[in-house]
Amino acid sequence: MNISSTNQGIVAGLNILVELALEWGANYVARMDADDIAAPDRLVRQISHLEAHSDVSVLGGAVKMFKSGTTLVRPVEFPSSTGMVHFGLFYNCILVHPTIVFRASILSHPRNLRYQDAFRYAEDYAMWLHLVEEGQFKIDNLPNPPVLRLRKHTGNESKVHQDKQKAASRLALKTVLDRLIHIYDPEPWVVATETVDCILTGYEHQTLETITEAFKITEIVEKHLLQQVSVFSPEDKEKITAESMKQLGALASMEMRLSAQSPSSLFCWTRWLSRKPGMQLASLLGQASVASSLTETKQKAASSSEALSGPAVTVICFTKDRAFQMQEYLRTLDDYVIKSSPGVKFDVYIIYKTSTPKFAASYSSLAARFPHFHWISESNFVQHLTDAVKDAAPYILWGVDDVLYYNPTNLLPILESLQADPSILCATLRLSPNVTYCHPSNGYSKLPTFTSLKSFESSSDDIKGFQQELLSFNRTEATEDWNYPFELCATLMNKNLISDVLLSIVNHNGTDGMSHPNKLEVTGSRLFTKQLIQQASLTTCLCVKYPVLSVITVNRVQDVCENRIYNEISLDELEKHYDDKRELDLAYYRSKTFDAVHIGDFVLK
Amino acid sequence: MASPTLKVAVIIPVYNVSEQFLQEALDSILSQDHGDLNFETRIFVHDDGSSLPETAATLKHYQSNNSRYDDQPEMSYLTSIQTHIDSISHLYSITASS
Repeated sequence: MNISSTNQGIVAGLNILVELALEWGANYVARMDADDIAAPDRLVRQISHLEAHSDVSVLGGAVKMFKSGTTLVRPVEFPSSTGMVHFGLFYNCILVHPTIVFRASILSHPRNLRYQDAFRYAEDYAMWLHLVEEGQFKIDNLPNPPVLRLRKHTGNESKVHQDKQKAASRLALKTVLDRLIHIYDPEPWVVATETVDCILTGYEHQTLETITEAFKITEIVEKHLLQQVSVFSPEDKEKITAESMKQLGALASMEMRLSAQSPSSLFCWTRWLSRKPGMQLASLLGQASVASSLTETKQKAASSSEALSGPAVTVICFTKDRAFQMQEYLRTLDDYVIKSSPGVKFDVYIIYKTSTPKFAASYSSLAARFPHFHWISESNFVQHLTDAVKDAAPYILWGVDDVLYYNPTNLLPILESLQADPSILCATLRLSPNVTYCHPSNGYSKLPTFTSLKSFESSSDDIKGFQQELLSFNRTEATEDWNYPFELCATLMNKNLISDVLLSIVNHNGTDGMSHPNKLEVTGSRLFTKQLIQQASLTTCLCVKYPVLSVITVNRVQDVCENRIYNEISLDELEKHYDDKRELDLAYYRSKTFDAVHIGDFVLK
Repeated sequence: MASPTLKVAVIIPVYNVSEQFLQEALDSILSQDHGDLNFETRIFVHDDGSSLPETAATLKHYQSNNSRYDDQPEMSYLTSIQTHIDSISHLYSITASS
């Protein structure tokens, strides 16, 4: 429907229709557009919901987009809890107008609510904002399935119309925000149009000024909603607070990216920190993030001072109930990475967890064997992790107990390549072009094309002059293991990048998103694949041409994600190997060329 | 005892919509499931002066094929309101048979 060229105008038309509905004696008014198709149960679902929830006055629903003559484009679902709808409306029109059903009573005396011509092209958005501001009525959205199929027109809506709609939405939101600021801020100000645009576009074209203003506005909106006691249940209020914290956290981290100042002088950051219960976490991550937002000059200065003292790597690894595998990991890490990287300073953090005193005793004896590593018995994973990241050297090498190194790797040339090119996301030691099968997903990978960066030699006590080649590839050309950017078993990554990922996880999923090594990896990877973080644009990764390690997947201890495993070897059996001081047969692994990172071969010497 | 019949007004603003699109939209409302819920539906359309002839033709067709004997007072209301709005806009009332 080409609204822009109608005669009397959409607003007048809608108000006439509303009069007709009232005159007829309607209990409910359902909106619809003439080119949409209602689901057969649209009315019965929406009316039943309203009949069952007498406190809800306005109800939207999910939609499916479709093009004439073709299949659906995609389902669109907006938040469905009252708190989220009310809060969300201050950031976007999250109700699809043609899906709305409302009680006719909201139109009658004394309110006489009508569509307003001043907000033509966004008259619906203005109406819902008005209701949310007033705080007398509840607005909900029905979750999927969709109540309406929304016809997607190609090129039907002119650019002119879209611009008018944008301007009207901006005006509607600005009008309400200005009123609220006047009520809540002892020194009222008028919202900048740029800030309103920035909010409505999900913080596009952000500047320090718009971010600061958006932060203040979010706090005011939260305050305003939370004092509407009659509208929200305690659960709604919790959701509002949580959503507000998420927004504030995101704004604080944007502020930090935009500013080179120290965090203590940043408005949003200090405000956010003063509210955040997990303050320590926030401040730790914050300091790291600030470092990543330094100017290029500062980065160069930092790397040149680094050059004087030699590069440094912190290994952070996770283990649970598997002293034998941890022993094999640490032994081979020491022999084939640490001792093979002359000139590189290493620090190793081990976050370990045990479920029985027997396992705990084994870890104690293992710790005695590697006393120069930091052994951290896991009680608060998030805290340990952030402490380790905070203390870490500029580069972090992740590790897990089922990794077995069997060929020497000198990290120095790899670190030099990472330092030289900040557009490289990471260097993964677990991948080499022989890896074509992905065991966790039981599928074959599409491999990227490789560019050889440099050749180098690595040596260990038992292997001299192992010829290696460093390859670069574009992960987005590939699939499975080859496009799994936040991988925690043997990846070398810049610490600032990791801090940014952790901060984004907190912003998007709360600390729960990183409460466990598995979750950390899965949530972190999701941020990349869903492009929720800036760093998702980094697509170049490094790997080695000849394999240096395998992941021996013979049982499942970090069982959040139900990873696939090969023939199971029980924890007790592994424990017995530990007690018997057995070792894996590295010569066996070295003699093979595996087509997968995760293997089931378990061969003792 | 049966609960009182709920009245659901579906309001649709219209401007230059093809016959096919209009049919699909109106039919999707006229053929709604009712489940156990006791409600009657009436569609109110405001055509804001479409220049496309098939828009008005389709709406007129639907109105005359979907009205009931008790629509008469309402139709007169429609007419009276019609005189207050500009001459090229048109209002339609389409009743779903329940």
